[in-house]
Amino acid sequence: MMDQKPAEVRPERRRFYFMILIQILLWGVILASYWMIDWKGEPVMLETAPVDPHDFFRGDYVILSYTISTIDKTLLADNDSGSIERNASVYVVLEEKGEYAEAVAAYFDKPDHLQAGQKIIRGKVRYDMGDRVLIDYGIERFYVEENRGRDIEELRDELDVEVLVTSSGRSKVNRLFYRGEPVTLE
Amino acid sequence: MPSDRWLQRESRSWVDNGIISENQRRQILELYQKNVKPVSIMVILASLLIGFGLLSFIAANWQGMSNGLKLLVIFTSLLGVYGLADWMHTRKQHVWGIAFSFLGVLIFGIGLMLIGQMYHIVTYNAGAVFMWAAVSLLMAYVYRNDLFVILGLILLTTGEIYSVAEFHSFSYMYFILFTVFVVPYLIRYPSGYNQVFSVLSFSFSILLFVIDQDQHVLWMLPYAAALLLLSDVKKLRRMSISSYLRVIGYVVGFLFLIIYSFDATPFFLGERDGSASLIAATVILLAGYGLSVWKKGDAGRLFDVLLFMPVFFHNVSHIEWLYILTLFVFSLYLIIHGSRHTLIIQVNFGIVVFVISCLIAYGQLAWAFMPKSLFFVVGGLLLFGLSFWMQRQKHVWLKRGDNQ
Repeated sequence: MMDQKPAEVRPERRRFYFMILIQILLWGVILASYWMIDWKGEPVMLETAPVDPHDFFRGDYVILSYTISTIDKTLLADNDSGSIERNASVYVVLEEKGEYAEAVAAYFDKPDHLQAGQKIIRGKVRYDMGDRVLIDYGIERFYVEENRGRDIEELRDELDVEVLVTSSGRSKVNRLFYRGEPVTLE
Repeated sequence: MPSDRWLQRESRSWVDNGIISENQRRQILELYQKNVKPVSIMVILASLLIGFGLLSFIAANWQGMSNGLKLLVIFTSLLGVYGLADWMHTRKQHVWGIAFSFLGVLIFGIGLMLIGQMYHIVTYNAGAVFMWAAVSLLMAYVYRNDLFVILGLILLTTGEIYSVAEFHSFSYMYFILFTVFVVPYLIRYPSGYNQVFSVLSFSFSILLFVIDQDQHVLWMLPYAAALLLLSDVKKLRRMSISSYLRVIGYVVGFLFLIIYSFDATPFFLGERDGSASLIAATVILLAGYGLSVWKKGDAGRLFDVLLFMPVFFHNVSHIEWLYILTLFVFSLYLIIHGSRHTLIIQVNFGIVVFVISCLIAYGQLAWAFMPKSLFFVVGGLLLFGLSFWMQRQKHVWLKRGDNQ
């Protein structure tokens, strides 16, 4: 069999249009999944926590860390094995206590029953720190205008974040608050 | 194309001189006809520049726009570029059509990132890059053009590097997409470019896999043995991919031999544990390879086994000298075997290896006691003399090979 280089001709039209459709659909699916959170999600207020100093400071987004980013292992109801696998899905039950929502329990499987006022947020185990677990929720960044990230990061200790969560535990950053006022980026 | 005209003229004289028949000449010309229209690099570059220009313009004014407007911009630029591609094809400007579609694939990926930013999405895997790669690879089937395969492979590799570097986990998405999209393409539309890029990209991801699994890099040697075995598979033997598999297998083997001939325990490779599974895997693959070349009646190829010595011998004092000796024997085998079978590339490769072996041996011997400036001057002269002599000798070897 000889190597061949196909001639440059017009691609078959139906295939070509199909490819365009695929790309638009892929974008659409991602957009829709986040619009879904906007539409169905309920707001919870999260308190930010000091950021791991090893994270790089980036100019174009703010790195956010929350008090719920590390949870006590004792909160993990169905953890019997001791050590926890990286990237395992975790469902953390949030309950509003005063101003902020706090983690009150955590499960590896989605809990069936929640008490009134409780919400769940889904995350992934990043690191097992022994008696505590570090969890990523996918809400750890807030993109801002180029080079503005650093300014906002300096205010970070007084920042609060309003996150939308759906009943299935999907989440999305909605707004940043600085001393109780929503941050506008203009 | 000038090269086309050159072939037409030259092949005419081959027929006149009775080297090939008129029929064969027609076949040769047909073979090259498909090859004469490479996508103009200039046009691709132009489309890239225009694309980046537009993007930087958008990026500069990005924050001022509402999300709705941002979406409108990325959707219209995608549709606009593909619309232009379609229009160019209608006007039979196919090179421009391909260039705009290429730009379209780039915009698709950039759009993915921009959508991520708009919604403050943080993903803890390289899924978006793999999605981008998949679109590029699918586009390759639509166009049957290597450009999209190469972009796809670059993106796949980037995704894997990103996954290992940023999230410390090897993504099997690479292997899935490679098997589903790249392999069938290589079978259906083989070309030098896509084969070389595929084998290189795949080998690199194997290296990442080995590192991610916390295994010693020497596991690349059984992988190299697998490449040699694969290059000898009957169905592939006649295809050019066979020689790429072999060359990359050789290169992997040589790198280890060269590294170990400097220092038997290089700090950057770590202590070898001589694990039984590593030895077993290498032995099994080599046995398969040996059997395959033996059956083919090309027993000379059994010398290839020498490349895999670092798997078997270590923690022996002065083992470097064994590796230097191996390099010499191997280069001679490449030259002799290559000249017998008139494999010019192999002979050239052997010459390069021979020269490298001489330099390493010289370095090991002379570095310790020679003044450094003299060391380099003598080394340079040695290299000069050797390559001169080898180049002259090559013609003699190849002629002898022809006569046999």
